[in-house]
Amino acid sequence: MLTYTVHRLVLMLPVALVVSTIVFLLLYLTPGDPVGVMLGPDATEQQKSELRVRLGLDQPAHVQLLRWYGRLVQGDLGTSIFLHKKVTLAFLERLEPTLMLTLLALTCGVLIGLPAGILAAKMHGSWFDMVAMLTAITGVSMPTFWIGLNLIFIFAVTLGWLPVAGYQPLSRGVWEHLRYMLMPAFTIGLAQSALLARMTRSMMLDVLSQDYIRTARAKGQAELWILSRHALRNAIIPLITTIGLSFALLLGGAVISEQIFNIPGVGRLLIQGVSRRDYPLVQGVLLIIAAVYMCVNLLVDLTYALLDPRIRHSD
Amino acid sequence: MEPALPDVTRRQFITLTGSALAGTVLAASAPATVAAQAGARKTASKTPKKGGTLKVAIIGEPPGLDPGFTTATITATTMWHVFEGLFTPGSRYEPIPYLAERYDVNQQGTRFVLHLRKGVPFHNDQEFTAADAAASLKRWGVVAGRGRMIFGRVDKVEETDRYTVTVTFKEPTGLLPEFLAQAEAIMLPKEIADQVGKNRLTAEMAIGTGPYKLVEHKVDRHLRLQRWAKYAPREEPANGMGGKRVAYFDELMFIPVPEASVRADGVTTGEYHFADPLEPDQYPNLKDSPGIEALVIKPGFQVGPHFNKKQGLFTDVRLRRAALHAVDLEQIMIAGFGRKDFFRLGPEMAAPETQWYSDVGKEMYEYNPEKAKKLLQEAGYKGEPIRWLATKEPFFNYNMGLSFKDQLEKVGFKIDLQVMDWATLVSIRGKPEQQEVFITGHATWVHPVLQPYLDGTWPGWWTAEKKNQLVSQMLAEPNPEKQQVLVRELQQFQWEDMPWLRCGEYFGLRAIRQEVVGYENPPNWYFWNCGFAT
Repeated sequence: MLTYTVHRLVLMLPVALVVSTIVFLLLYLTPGDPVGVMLGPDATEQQKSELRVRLGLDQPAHVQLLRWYGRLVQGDLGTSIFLHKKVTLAFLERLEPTLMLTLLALTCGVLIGLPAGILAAKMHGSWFDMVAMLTAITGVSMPTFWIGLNLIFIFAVTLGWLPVAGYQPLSRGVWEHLRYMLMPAFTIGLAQSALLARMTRSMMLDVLSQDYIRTARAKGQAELWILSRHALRNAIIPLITTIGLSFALLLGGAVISEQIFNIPGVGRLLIQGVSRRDYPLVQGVLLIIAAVYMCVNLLVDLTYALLDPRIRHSD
Repeated sequence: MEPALPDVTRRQFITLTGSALAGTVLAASAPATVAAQAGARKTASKTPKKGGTLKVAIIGEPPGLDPGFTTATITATTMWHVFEGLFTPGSRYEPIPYLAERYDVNQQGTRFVLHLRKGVPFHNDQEFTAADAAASLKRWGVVAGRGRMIFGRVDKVEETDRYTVTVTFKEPTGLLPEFLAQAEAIMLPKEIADQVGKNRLTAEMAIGTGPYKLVEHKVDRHLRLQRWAKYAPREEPANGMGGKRVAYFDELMFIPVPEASVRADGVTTGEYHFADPLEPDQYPNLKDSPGIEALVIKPGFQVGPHFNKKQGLFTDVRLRRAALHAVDLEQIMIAGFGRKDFFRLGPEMAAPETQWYSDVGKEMYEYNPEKAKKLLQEAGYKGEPIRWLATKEPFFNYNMGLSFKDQLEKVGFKIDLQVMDWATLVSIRGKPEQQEVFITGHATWVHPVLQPYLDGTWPGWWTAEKKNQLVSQMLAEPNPEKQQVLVRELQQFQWEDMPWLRCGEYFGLRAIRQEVVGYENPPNWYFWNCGFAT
């Protein structure tokens, strides 16, 4: 197990290197630079070229790339051109909103998706199964921005129950924080719950048709016990993978929700970095996200072993 | 000045485009007229009380806090509550003294003596003096595009005494006050002006003399300004941005909200007191919402395609004129803005609300596809593709491009409409070998000589000798009446030489809560002399 973990950790380094190089090249090949955005639309070409020189953007691509690697080795992800601060600091400042949004959205997704999937499997072929799956397909198919804008219209504009958009940190109080996070969390959570419900149903149907379930029923065990103790435990491995990957994906920034609900999180930081052509910021943040993704993947794999003793990674 | 552009996501583009299309459909059925809403507000005359925090939803994070460094409108409009200049625009957008008490200019326009107001404190409690003014002017002369233009003509800037600065020019520059009334000519404490030089001011360096001081800047969250208790206003009644400035609000909170629909919803629910800019298709909903006013902004921005006159097909003026005669400008503007209430057509370089308005050149426009075809033939155009840069941020750029493509191809042009994001467009438009045309907009309430496209190095590269002469004469001329004559000549020549095709002027939309009184709805907002109702 330990060897496996170390092996996976070592493998992460070249992956991170490849990711950062690809990101650098993609950004370099994209036309436009931060200078035009920083200086404004009426800036003269002379002003722009002077600033390019000052920022080192006039250097050839390989020089810029090597400089970035040089700093990376020293643990420095660089300084954002636009924000004028260290990329690591900029990322950490945006982590709280994204982390909270991710946790709340996943909680929402699991609380709706798992029971719906289990019940749909249990009541396979019933009206509940049909309605649940139809809702799930609709949930997966609806674009996040559309759900978000409709929630705003209903709960903020029409009913006035929740604020339209914005963010209040946890330090301002749990309820104040939740007031702002409920709609964005539900927007993302709905899509996640739809995905989870469909997967849970499918996995549970597989498991529920197994011989040992029939044996358990024959022994006269309670249905709730069979579902939770025997069926769900065996069906849950792929679900853990899905939840883990969703967690990593959302930590990378729920871009659309953060944009619509005006949440200053990682996703918004990243997307604005791209439109401002803030190269160091985009490179640094993507590298962090890649690392988070790989770590979560590793944790998911390690969790398998805890949940299912048959799985061992020592080989 | 071009409109400040937002940081917009791909998803937002889709939403905006969808909204724009929906707006076009809605426009046809909406009976309401916006004319009555434009200009001064119904509640503008009520007396405000002191206190409260004004929450303003803005289009995006300003690209800096330094109006000297960036020409982005959003930086100017947020930060002119903090920084002030020697001059400022009056009610007819003419330059009037602000931190300068008054000024004297010699007949040749080569020597300006600027007498400064006494007892004006910076936010660090130091008094504003001639040393600060001279250092700030010099910094403006190296950092800002227009400052560099003026300082190319400056011989020396001297502190005559503690409250007097003298600017001597190598050649007549009668138009100095026009330049000093622009947002980028800010006055800073000498030590900051000297220290920052060509670089960007940081938040710690944002020390001005304005009615508000910067207290907190959280990028992408908010920019918080607080009333400056020791503010020293002028004594004269308010006159445009000039005259007496009274800060009624305790605080101003500028909140970047990238989604236009969320800005509108936020002001409807009272989350924000003010939202700008909004989209024309949001007007029907906003005007019926209780507690808010939908405001149409006049004057607005003139908009149209700029031709590449440095190399390629459009170096031939006959092709530029062919483009003019090939299109129905009203259709182009409808494609861009949906509602007829949100634009006006005309040949002017400056809006009718300004002192520089003139309608000369109007006879040059004629929608005549046959004439366009003839000009194409004369120019020997053989269907070479024209690379037309378009973007969906702002939404109207692409929509206008589509209408242009449709109409121009009917007379024989072949348009290669290339759609890209704003940062890419800004980059490519600066490369004459990569484009023939791009659309952009320019403010209509500034002196025409301040238009960026008059600079021969600006993309489009208008270097015509006659234009250069007229610009040079305008810069030199201190007499307003003679200025007017020169403006008319320049406008006439613009329509003859067609460096760009001015399609018309579009009006923006914003919304304000009715509890905010005293707000006059200028083209670019400011929040002194307005406050919450008593």
